[in-house]
Amino acid sequence: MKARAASTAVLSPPLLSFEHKRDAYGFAVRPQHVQRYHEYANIYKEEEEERSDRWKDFLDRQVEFTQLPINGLSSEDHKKALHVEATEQEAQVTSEEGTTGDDLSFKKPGSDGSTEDAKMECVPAPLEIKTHGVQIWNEIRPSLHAIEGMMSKRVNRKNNLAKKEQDIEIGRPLPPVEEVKSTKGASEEDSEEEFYDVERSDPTQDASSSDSVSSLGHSAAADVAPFESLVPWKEELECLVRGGVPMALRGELWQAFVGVRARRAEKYYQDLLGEEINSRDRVEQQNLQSENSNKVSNSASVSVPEKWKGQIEKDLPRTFPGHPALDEGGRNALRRLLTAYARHNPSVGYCQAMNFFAGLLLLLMPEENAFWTLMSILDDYFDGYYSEEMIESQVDQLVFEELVRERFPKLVNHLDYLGVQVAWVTGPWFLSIFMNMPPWESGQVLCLIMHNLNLIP
Amino acid sequence: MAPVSALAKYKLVFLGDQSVGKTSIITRFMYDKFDNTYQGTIGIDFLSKTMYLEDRTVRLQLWDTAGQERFRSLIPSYIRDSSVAVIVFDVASRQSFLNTAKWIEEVRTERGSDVIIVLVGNKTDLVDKRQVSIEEGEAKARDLNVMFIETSAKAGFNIKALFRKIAAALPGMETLSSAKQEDMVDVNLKSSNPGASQSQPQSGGCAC
Repeated sequence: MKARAASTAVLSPPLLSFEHKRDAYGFAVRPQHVQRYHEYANIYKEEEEERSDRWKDFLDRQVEFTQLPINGLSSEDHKKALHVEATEQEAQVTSEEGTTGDDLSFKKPGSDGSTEDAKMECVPAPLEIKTHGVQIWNEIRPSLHAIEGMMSKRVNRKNNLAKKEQDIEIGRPLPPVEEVKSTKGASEEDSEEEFYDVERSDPTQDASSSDSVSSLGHSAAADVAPFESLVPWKEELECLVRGGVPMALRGELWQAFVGVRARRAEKYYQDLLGEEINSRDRVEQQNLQSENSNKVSNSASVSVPEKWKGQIEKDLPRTFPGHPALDEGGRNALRRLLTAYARHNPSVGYCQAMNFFAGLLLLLMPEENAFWTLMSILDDYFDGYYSEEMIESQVDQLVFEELVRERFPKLVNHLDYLGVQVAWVTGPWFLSIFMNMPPWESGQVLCLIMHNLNLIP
Repeated sequence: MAPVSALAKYKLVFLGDQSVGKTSIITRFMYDKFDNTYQGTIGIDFLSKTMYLEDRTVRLQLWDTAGQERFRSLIPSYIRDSSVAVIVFDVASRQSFLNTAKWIEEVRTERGSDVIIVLVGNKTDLVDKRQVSIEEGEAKARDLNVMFIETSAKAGFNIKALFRKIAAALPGMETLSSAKQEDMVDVNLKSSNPGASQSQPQSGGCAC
């Protein structure tokens, strides 16, 4: 893809217009991609409209589904909850009915003709700008609760599993490595099997009961575990995700997929950021002390472990430069987010590329939610990817190259002929988690990753 | 087809610390533009440009790399078959200047003396913030036996000169035919063997 772009750039070299064109997300389109973006812009728009319709239909049915008495909540209660939470959402258009609030947000994706002329300069919808920086923590919209519920179950199950494993390790101080591995493997298989069984048995269950409503209510109240069996739309959801998530929904849906609420630990984010203030105080105290005792202060010792500070600082203005939402407030939020993650996981600290997903998440959701989402992507899905050695990312490239060799021998032969390694082309795609590479309008990869996040054992 | 395949290709890899201006230099050369803010490069990025010199035409493949330290584990493979390594530092950052030694060492490890190395002091427009003098740069380049030039991608200063300097130093500038044997390993393997030229379209080989 990059190679192709390079060749088009050469066909019409310096005359190619360089002004920073922006896509529907407000991201700059790179100069070598501008032409192609122009060609495809209308297709993206049409696709987005189709996607929005499909999702709207799906979520409308979700609302009906959640209004059924589930988890002991009567539909009355649920409606109340809907209403309350809808009004809590500052950025959301306030409306009397929570459900209509959902509908409204679908009208955004560039379907009105007024954006026709300015489609290249299209600024992201006000929702995204407004939410970021203003809200630290916010819950997601009610119609996504069912999805969130399903995903959160997995988070909790995983947490429990981790706890059990910890217990085992504590119980038997030095377990042989293989044993631990085998128990882990077994539990993985178990959960996988359970998952598929549930899926298969699901339709028959539904068919056998003439009154599905009562059976749903009953089993849900009886036991929380088979919640996934109550999810007849699980496959549909996956299909929808594969087709891409419309822009207006991405932020909240990702949060639902990740299970932000289930992952969230109260105050954790604030405490991570609080360390800064504390350490600053410490430095000041040290300075005071050293002045008093006429000793040379070594404030350097404080700054040593946080060498990523300067690196983050350098990358702040280089993260989606010129994006309307990344003004000073946006940059400060980005700094906090990256700092908090680096402190949360010092073995990784800060790695270039993180700034892009962190920045993107900030555009799509409130700051603290962005932190929990970022954490789950980096810790669960990309463990070892951005560490000092970047081992996992190199492994992925080798595996991917093998796959390409197997599936596209002609392509690899040609690359070999040119002296180009597959990894040179695809490395940046993986490292940036497919951000920047395909145009945002078609960015399904991230959506899929988010969706599958909790499926990883 | 024959004239296309005769175009000599050279790989230039750009190395140096984070935010010293590698992408800016390349963009200035490619599009003759400068923007105050570039996106940080993730991993690697490549572009190519045909350069028309008095006596011949060369195709330069420009490999832009990420500057952060941990990306160095990925860099050796980028360096491996490059003809030229452009090591960039920021004249307003002594640290970036000091780190060029590491980058040069990295290149020498991979390529030995079989590579042209250019040390580039960028951002000369930041007159008040300068931390590394031109004399220091020159001295270091002499010590390490590499070429040296100061540039400002922002002001457009010396960018063309940099690339002309590189082009003039490219091996095989004197005798085109012998150069083909030595430098264009990948291309030559095919073009020197007439039978093989049919298996892969020559034009395809030069299209990117």
